[in-house]
Amino acid sequence: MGKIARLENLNKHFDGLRAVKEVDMTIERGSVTGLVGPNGAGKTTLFNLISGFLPPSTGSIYFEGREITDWSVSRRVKAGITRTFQGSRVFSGLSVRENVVTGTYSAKNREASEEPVGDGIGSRIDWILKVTKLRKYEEFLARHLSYGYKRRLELAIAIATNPKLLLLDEPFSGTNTFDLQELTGLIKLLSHKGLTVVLVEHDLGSVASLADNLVHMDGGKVTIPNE
Amino acid sequence: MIAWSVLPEFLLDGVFLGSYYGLLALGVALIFGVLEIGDVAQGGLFTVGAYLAYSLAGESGFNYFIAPLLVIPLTAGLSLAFGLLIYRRLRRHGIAPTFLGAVSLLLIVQSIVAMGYGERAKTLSSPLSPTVLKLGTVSIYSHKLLVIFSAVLLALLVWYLLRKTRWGKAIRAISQNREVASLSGVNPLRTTGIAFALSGALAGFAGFITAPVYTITPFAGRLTVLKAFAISRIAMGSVPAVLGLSLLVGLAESLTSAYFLGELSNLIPFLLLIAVTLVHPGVLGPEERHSIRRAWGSFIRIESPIKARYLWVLAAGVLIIPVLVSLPSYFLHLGIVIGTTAIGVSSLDLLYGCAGLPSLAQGAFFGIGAYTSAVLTMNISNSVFLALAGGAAVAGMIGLLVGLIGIRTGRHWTSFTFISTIIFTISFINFEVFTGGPSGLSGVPHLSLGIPVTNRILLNPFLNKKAYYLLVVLVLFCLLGLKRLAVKSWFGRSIKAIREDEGLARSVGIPSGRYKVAVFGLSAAVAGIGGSLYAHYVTYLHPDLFNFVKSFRFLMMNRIGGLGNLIGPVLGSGFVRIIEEFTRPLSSYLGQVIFSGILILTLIYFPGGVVGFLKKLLGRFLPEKFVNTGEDMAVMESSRLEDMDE
Repeated sequence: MGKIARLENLNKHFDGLRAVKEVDMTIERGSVTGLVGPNGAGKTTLFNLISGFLPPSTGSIYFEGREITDWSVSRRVKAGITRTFQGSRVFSGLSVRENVVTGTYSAKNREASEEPVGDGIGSRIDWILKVTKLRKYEEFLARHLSYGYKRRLELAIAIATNPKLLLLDEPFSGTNTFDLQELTGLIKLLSHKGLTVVLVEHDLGSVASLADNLVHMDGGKVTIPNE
Repeated sequence: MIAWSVLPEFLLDGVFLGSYYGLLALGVALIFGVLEIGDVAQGGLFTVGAYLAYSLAGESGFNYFIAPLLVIPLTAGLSLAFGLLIYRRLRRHGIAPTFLGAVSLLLIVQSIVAMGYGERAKTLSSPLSPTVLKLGTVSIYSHKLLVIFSAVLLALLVWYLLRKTRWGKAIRAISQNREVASLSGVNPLRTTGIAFALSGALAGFAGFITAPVYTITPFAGRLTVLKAFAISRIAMGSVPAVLGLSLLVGLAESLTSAYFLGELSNLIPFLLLIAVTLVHPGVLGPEERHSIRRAWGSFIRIESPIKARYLWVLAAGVLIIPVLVSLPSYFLHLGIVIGTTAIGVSSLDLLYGCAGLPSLAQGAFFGIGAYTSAVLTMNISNSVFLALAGGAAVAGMIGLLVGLIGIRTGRHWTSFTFISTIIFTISFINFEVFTGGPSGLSGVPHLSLGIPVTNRILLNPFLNKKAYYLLVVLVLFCLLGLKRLAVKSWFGRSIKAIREDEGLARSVGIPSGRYKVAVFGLSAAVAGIGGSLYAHYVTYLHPDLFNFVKSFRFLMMNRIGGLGNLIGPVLGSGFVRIIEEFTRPLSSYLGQVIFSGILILTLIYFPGGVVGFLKKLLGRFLPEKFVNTGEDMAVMESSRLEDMDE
């Protein structure tokens, strides 16, 4: 299916601490890659590098054939790279619907979001709310959601950005079995629609059920690359 | 023409300046170390020290050399009281409210002194004789030598305290890491108290010892404490660095004021601080890695109690009355003043209530608009369109520039805007070409409905108060309408997202830096419009009208009125102005004291302001269809700053 992203000799150090060491990685389009490893291995830093929140010390990043190493975060989001954060982060003071609408910020999404998605389920935003089961909480303030629903909302916002490559940072941490099943099902659904996913997760069971391949990191280095 | 022969005098003078800057800076640095706040209220204690010197040694004939035994415990005690009673409570609401509280305290103390002693400068003669010493070719006030001498002594004492005693080590430990220090048995509460007391002692002593050198005025300590603040931040709290830098700044100031710059030499520490901030944003405080939103502290974004459409109609009805009915011109005057102020406060609300970025620079932009408008109408044409457009454009552009620098300061944004205002004020005083300097700019012409280029005057209606009132109300309505549109648009949505969680906003593609700069420029432009209308009404402008007190008053009115809605700024302006009118006969400073106090109370106990209060009240009496029932966005969040030492 072709590669959607490539990391070349990526390094990141903070004043002496080498967080990411000589990472080479390719990500196949449409795949679900599980990124595993102990805490402090550099997984989140890697996400920060790919999404643009941190500049690399050395190395390059390629997305859909273009070098994006110097691109700003907003440019990368527009190009189709979206990341989530550890711990469920949502816009607490906004309603659930507003949260999702805000996610459609990047211009091409704004036009698309108001269009009906064909089978009579309203606009794209309505579709996202339906598929994440947030419909009935549409007008609630995000801060009033239970933890499991906040995690769904977090995913909903990410989906709203209409990504091509989705980087999920521990999306299941702290969720109960029921939420876990639903979230996992959601990611499978998106993957079938062609979304490329990289998933950091400690719950190896869910990683196993989702991932096509695994990458293991430790001490900043990729110890078991995906082949 | 440089007179080298007097160089040694200026050098000595520079050492003198550096000495008492150092004392203040040391105190400010101590407090910043333990509580991460810029305690500018120390400037008030400096003033208290100076006036006590006057009262005790001057009027009552106390021995000057014994008086410190009274003065120091008093200022130390005051500082301690401020720290434990007020700052502790404010701190859990965040950095911005704490800083605002500090400014409030500074104003309260200095206003009380002004009420007690009067505004006129006092003088105290030095107890030393001979008054002037001659060392070779150099002559110097002997008292200045005393200042240098005692500063060195105190600096050594403080250094010894911090290095060698248990208390000092506790202070240093807390400055490094509060939590870990308390685990090692350090009592944070007591240590913080000691830091405050020590700082107050230093500030009071600095004021006391320099009293005979300069004339004593209630507001003398202001600029000095701000310089001390700038110095302590650049030096990042290390004692030798603070002292060394104070000395350098004192020398630089003395030399440049003598040889090149005159009054502009006052800018040195502030420009230096801004320069350092560009290179090392962390200089204004520790860097924030998490959600920046939490640092702004608690505020409640209140929706106005009455639904918007009814509110517009109601407001239009009320405001149109003075035009239709003949009222005493005093009401029109009040209406105009409240109206122009409300424009300024609305501009602040765009930043504070909507974007969550409290700014102490709006007064300066108000002033830039005023001066621009005055200069344009005095030199080109007194067309109202030119005046307003010019004021908005210049203020807006400068706002964009300042904003570009400001976004690098992260959660210490408020202090940054504060420093910018100082820089602007000093600039206003010194760029006489545009602003008429310290004597002010008079003869600002009246506006007319003219067309700038052709200079054709269509109508000259603004010569009477009613017409001017109408103009102000119309502009206010237009601006509020635009504000509402902006808030409801994608622009407003993005700003809200940034306020809620900047990192998350960025992750959905919102370029947060650009938006912050844009909203800063926009609010500067709006403030500029308010300033322009103000200028053509009062027709006399002076730099002191647009200093940080003005900015602070805007902030006060915004918080007291209610953040994040359209009528809060208007209600706040009205409320404050009207009460000030009533208290003015008693003392022109009483109002300032009252409102600074109300602000502190509002920050701690009533985040919703007047609008919040009205909402509760009206909610009970009005029928449902008139009332907004949406939930108020109470962001009563405390961040890791909250873990205080109970």
